[in-house]
Amino acid sequence: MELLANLALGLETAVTPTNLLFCFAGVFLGTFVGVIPGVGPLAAISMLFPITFYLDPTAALIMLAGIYYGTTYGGSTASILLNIPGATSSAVTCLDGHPMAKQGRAGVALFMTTIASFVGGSFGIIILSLFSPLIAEYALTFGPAEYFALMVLGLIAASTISNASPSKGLAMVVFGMLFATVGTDSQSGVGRFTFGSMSLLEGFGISAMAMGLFGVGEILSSVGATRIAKIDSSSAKLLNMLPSKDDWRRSWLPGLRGSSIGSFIGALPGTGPSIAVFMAYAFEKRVSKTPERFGHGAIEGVVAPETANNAADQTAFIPTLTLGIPGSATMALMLGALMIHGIQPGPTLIVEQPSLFWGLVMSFWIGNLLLLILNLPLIGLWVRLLLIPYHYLYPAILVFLCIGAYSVRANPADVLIILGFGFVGYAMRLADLPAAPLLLGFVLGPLVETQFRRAMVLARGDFTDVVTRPIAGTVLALAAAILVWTLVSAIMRYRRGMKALTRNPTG
Amino acid sequence: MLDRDYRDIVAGLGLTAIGAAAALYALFNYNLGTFTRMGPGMMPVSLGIILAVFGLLIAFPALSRSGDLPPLKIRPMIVMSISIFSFALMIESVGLVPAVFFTTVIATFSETRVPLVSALVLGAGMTLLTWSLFILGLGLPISSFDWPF
Repeated sequence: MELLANLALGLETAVTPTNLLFCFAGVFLGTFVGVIPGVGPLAAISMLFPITFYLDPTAALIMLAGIYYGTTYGGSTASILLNIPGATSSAVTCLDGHPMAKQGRAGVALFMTTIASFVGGSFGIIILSLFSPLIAEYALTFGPAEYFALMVLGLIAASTISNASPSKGLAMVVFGMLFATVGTDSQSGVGRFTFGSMSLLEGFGISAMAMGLFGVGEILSSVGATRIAKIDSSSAKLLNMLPSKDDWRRSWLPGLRGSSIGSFIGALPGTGPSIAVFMAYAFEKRVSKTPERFGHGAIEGVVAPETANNAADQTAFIPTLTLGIPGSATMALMLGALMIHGIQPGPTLIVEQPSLFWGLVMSFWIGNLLLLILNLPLIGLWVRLLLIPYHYLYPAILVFLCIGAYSVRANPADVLIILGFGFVGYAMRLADLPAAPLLLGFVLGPLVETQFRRAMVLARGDFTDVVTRPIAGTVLALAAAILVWTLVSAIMRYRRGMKALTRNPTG
Repeated sequence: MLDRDYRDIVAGLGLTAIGAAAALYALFNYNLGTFTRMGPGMMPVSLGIILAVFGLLIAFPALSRSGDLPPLKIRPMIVMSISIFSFALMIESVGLVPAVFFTTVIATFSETRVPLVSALVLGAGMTLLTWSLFILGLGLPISSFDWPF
């Protein structure tokens, strides 16, 4: 059993006392920041990343994994108690989780969320360990043309499928890719868009960009908004947390279905957890004998999306680790963090650095386990944290962002870059432009460019040579199909808008 | 409600302007190369053109629907800028302790609802927290106190 040997190797790496300590710190800090209303996983991860830059790679990755799960879990807590989703993926949890909290069953909802996170996460990790080596082996035969095609598909899928306005999502991907061209061109050595500035030759750092867009931008847009937190904290006490037999009976099947849906959707490029949770929720509602309970505090409506969310979080690592192609903005951030630690994910990673790869996989699982152990007794603390008014929280967040930005390269100019990207992020929020595709485009942009240039050299400048390769051609055709479908539906929406306007000219 | 969706019109045209500017700048300053051997200019020029087209695709449908303009928050924008600027200026000249303290206190002025005493307490608390976490705990190479003169 090669797989078992690999898992044992991973476990050995992950359970050294220092690594466990960092995993614990990551889970704790991640949940802490993730609970803060309005701070989504992206903002929380980008805020906490710089802390890991000073650790050795294995410990850093384990802490990153902890941060990643912690923020997701913290986001669900805020959704259930306050009805403020930190991310699109936790918006679904609000639908039934918040009604449960209003009925005084917040403790049960939080308890089941914790269990569901663990079950979904473990399920996803099993899928990840089974399929990653297979995909990596297959991917060893991929050339630049295949990588280029897969990345284009990922970018198009991520910006069109999960966005309300596909043209805005696509525009932001391109905008992100344009930002990525700033700095020295890796092929010719020419500095692009540097305007004579030495520090721009290095390009923008991904952490500074993410901290600005999601951290400072978020603060700017939510400062001054009135938030009144009303929580019945007694419903979240430990005694009121234990689910009834009926809750368990209702939950186990939705949990299994949610895990399966989440694992499948999470591994696809561009879809990620947000699609997975919506599908899992819709599916449960359809197969339920009592669909009318959904939206009024049905436990299935919490369990299914939460398991799907965590399973998808895990399987999203399959394309990221085996191909080096992240499917979502969060994965792009994780990829960026791996690259800062000198690890280039790709098909050779599993073969060349097995202890690192399997150590990471097992630390995912330990992160999930710690989340379970940590959060059941600490739910009361998170509830109290939610009661702190935002006008005391945002100065603290701002300070962490400043220190984080500064500590990456010990350069005060980076602090000003997060301010600049903060304004970009705020302007985008005002204009209703999504920031996540921008980050994805920023990370994938240079890779797309490099692979495309290589592919064109190999094809001697003949693009038809790229398209006629079987895998690359199929993948590009799929990307084109998504693009055409998006365009057609946009035109139809526009026509409907015109009709409405002519019928009601004052409109 | 306004008669047109000016938010999307401004956003779309803004993106078109950025895309066109980037494409033109790259076209005149960097070598395009050929399709077989692409130069540094090829990618920025293509991306700029695509961005400009998408900008028009965003702005054009917005002409036929009504919409609202979101309000601009001037005060937080100015206060946050001062706060972050002061951190960038102070972190290397006077050290972490004063930088964190002033950044926190200044940031509270984005809203009118934090009393000065609470702001000072928050500043002191954040200073203690960040000092113990980053310098004591993680051992970051940042000096906690410096005398610039």
